[in-house]
Amino acid sequence: MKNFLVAFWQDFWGFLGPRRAYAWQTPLWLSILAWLLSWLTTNPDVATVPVTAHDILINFSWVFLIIAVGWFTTDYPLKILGQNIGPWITGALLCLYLFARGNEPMVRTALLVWPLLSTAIAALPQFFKIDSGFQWPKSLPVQQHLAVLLLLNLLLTSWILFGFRTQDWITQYPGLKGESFDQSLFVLHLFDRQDPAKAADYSRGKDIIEGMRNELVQQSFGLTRPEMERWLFDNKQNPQIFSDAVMSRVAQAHKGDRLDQQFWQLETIVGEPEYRVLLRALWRGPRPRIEGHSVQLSCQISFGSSNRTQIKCDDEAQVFSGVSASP
Amino acid sequence: MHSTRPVGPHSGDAMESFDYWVLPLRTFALQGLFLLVTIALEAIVLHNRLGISRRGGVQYALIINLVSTVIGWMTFFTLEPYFPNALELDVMSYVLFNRTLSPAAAMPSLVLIGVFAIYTLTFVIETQAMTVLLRLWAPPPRLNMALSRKRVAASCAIKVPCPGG
Repeated sequence: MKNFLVAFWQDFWGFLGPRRAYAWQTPLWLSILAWLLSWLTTNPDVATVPVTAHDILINFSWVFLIIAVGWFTTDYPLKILGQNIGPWITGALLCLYLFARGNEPMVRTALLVWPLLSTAIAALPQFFKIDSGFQWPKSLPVQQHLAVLLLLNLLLTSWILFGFRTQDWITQYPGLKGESFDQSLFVLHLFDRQDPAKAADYSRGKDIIEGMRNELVQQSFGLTRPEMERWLFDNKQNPQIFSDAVMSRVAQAHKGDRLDQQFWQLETIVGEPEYRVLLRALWRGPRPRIEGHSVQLSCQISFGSSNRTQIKCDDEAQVFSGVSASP
Repeated sequence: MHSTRPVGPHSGDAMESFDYWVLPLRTFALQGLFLLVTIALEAIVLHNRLGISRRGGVQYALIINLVSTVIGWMTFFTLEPYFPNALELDVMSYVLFNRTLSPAAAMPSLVLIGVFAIYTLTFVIETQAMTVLLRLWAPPPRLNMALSRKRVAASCAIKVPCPGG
């Protein structure tokens, strides 16, 4: 046991103990030291000054950690296709440190800056020599290599930007979530939502059906039987009024989804027994098949002994993917 | 009688929603594949026609194709906010579902014009990039030889030694 511990310690210290004053282990230990010291300082949550000793120490800890990782990946390069990808690890840490900490992490900025920042880190040794300072790399292979590296990372940035663009589309038009992306040549939906039937479960149509139900209940409140029949008749003649009322109700509940609304087609279908009302929301926006997905809810209108309208709806709205639509 | 209960896993939050991530992974694969094929073909053409060494040809083909691809993306990102709404929706629908929103019959002529324009612009960008690269990297006398006597250069196996090749 003792031998094991001694051997372990020798291995451990042999790896993490700095050989020289300037080695990759030095900034690592400085980082750990600053981090430990930050525990001794005031809790930043109760601090009254804008910049606390805690902040300063934590920043030092980050900076030295980044230096240590950069140094380590230079000493022990991790190569893919002949290129040391260490700078991209260092760059990721640096982006995390610069943009993605604290209460308002700027994840997008961090991701966007990451490829080019890492390229700069990778190119730095070619431009800057300790003895001669800044210089333009003379050797042609180095120039070509740097050009390829820069272009590849610009391409990576473009892809990331494109990813944000598609994400924005889905945020602007949440109805898209109800359709499956399995036909797309560009995007892939992770997890198990490729299945069209499952995709429809993420539809915003459920919110809209909820709005339809609440609007119907509100508008029919206290109506007598003839009044309710009149309402149903009017709605059949001019369904747009009810649709608009529902949409403004939904828009109040979910701000920022207005663009999406033009693509929802609302239907109220009256049937037997008197009166079975089918509320249906059909997605007519961008979709992979001719039929979009739809959400529907069945409600029963009855008139009790008081002759006032009572509405009882099913508990669960039903979702139909474009494949099995029109029940 | 009626309570407003939350329905489903979806919330109307317009913030960055991490619960629903669509990643452009297929774009990576598709574009990577296209680039591989194009670079291989163009490297052969550069080698045969300009007498650039095989390895140099790959190097140059890689660079000019990346330049045109990146410029293409930047153009898309610059123009896209100014697209008319109908076009924006068609692009969105095509990207997400491989199908345009407007009836397909209205599209082909526009698409064909677009494809032709993109092809022409790509050609111009790539030849311009190639000219700049040769000015930068190929030694001048051999460059002249390569440009003026490309067939001879290829048949006589006089290669412009590409730096790095």
